[in-house]
Amino acid sequence: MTRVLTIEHLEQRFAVPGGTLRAVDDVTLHVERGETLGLVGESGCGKSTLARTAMRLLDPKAGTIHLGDRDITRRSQRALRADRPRMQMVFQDPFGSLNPRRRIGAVLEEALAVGRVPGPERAAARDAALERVGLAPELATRLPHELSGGQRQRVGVARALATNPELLVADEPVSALDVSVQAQLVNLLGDLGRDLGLAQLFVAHDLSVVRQIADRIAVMYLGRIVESAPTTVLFDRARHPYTRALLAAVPVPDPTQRGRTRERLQGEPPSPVAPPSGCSFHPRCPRASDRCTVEQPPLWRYPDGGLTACHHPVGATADEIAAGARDDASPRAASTEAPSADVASAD
Amino acid sequence: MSAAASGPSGHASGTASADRPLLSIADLAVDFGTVGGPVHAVREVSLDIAPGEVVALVGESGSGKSVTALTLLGLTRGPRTTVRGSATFDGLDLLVAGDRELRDIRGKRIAMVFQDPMSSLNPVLRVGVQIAEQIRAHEPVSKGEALRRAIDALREVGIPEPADRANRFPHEFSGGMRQRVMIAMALSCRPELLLADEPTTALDVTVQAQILDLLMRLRDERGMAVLLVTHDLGVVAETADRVAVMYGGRIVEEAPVEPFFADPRHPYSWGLLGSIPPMAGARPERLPTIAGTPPSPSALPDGCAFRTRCPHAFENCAALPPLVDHDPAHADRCWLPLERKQALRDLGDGRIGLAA
Repeated sequence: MTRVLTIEHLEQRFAVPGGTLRAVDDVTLHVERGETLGLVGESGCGKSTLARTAMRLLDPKAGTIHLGDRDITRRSQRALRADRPRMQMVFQDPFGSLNPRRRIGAVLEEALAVGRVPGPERAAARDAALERVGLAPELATRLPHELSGGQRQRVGVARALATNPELLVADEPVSALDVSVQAQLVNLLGDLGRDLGLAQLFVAHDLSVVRQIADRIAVMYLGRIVESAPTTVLFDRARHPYTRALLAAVPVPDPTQRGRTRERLQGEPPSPVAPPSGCSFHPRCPRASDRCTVEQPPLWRYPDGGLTACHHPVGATADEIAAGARDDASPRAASTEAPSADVASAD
Repeated sequence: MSAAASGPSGHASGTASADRPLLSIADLAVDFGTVGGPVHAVREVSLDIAPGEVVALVGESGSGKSVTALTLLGLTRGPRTTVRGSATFDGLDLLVAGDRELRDIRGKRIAMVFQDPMSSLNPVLRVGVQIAEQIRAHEPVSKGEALRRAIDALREVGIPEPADRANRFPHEFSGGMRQRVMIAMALSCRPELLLADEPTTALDVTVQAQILDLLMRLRDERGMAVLLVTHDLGVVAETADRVAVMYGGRIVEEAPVEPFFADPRHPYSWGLLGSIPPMAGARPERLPTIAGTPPSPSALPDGCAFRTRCPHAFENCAALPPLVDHDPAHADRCWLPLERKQALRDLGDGRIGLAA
């Protein structure tokens, strides 16, 4: 497997009135070629900041970012221009991310120029780029306001792919779209990821969309990754109480399930300016113990490929914990002790 | 449901058919005059809401669902707006009610919650004062008494330390807390009907679940009816008694919630259901989708507005299909015969969708 994006111990902080906001707190992750990593969490958890920092749209405060073998953590913006064609981004707002005065064709040709497509070939490449995202080449002469939201978002994808990137970072690419159009874009991104062997970092708050598109999912809470796992493992047996609460909160389109009892999360995430001690989820966690208030849990790697930062993981047996180990992705300050087995693991 | 061509079939409500409807909308039509000619935002909408009933109005952008809700409170009135039909609330037609009559009802007997709580609150007034102002607009109580009731209202919607929070400004609240403030304000005069326009769309799922629980609890405790405008069929399944799906300004399907999800009749409904990625079970290689995009209300196709996106459209669809009750309380607006639909919508694996 080829790692396209490797992030280690990344930190992002902002000075705000009243202190320092730790938006990204000691995060380690990677995305491989042909793989889609879904990044989920509530608003304010730092998922967009992490995506933007990975793209070097923001300068990290600590940690490293590698694109392939190349360390881009401290490269100047000028030097980064050589790397930009390899890493591209799709934004949430298809209205705000296209210049309203430039025709779609000109937008794409500029991106093709950045991707070093020679001038005489650009018109054909532009038409091919439009067709690849399911748009008619005639749209090249249009202005953004003449397109629907779904068409604009397709242009955003076409522009990102014009440079033949290895890495595509998509920040909530479908959440501004109507449901029927959302499904079209999810299919498109899935197809393109497979066909082009892209590494994708897909940031979203909609868990059903992420389940559809991601191979692996990482869950963020207050700037930290609290759980990550292959998609099927995360949906079948999430071990972190926060992940379980997130999954339980998604409304199910089946009224016959309405009466089911659910783990409801109370309150809202605390301020990232003054995060709670120990496990930052402990004030809202139904399983929290004294240990959780003082000791930050490590990311423990389980035999099924799941990583969970929790002292009291749901459903984890003593055998599973013993067969696992503290993962290198753990924050440096995290404890080195193993989690406790779940005594009520019939859960 | 006063189905246009199915005769006086009468209306059977999902939960409270014995009750007189609290609100009865009949043949509502809303046109907006624009530079490019009239825009037919809403057409032939008939819908009853019984006391204590939750009715979901489902649709995508431009379907007319929000315009329907806004029109009930006179919020679309203007020199270029034409409203026809009637909306009878306790004997009064809201559509022709005078400003004063409407003001007495609005906020007191019918309240509204909007999608974006930030732009619906006054940024320079403390939230307690805003809620108290709303109470004093409708009831002859002192400022002190109104503020006490505002604090009670904040407590009831689950805002911690309500007396302290009442003294704060909207920007000091998170999105979820602001939406609770909006709901507290809407509920402060104990309305009989709440119009909720995408009340949880801007919120995280965890907070959305809390807000929906809150609305359902208030419905149970107070017998308040809710018209819930939403695009999210998950939210509908969790909360509604009855569903009306809008497309191109018209209701295309209406049914109690369980038959709607078990036996959806309109191809657009299949498309909406199919395009939701499943949260359990096998992951489909690709999601079944609806081709194209929702039409602009200024450029609706003739006949069935969905026919340009419908893989099952045939020659009949050039004419507008009537809204027909095939069985009591379950109506749809589609020319396909019922038995044919049941075969067409099945994607296998028990899933329903719009197969191309």
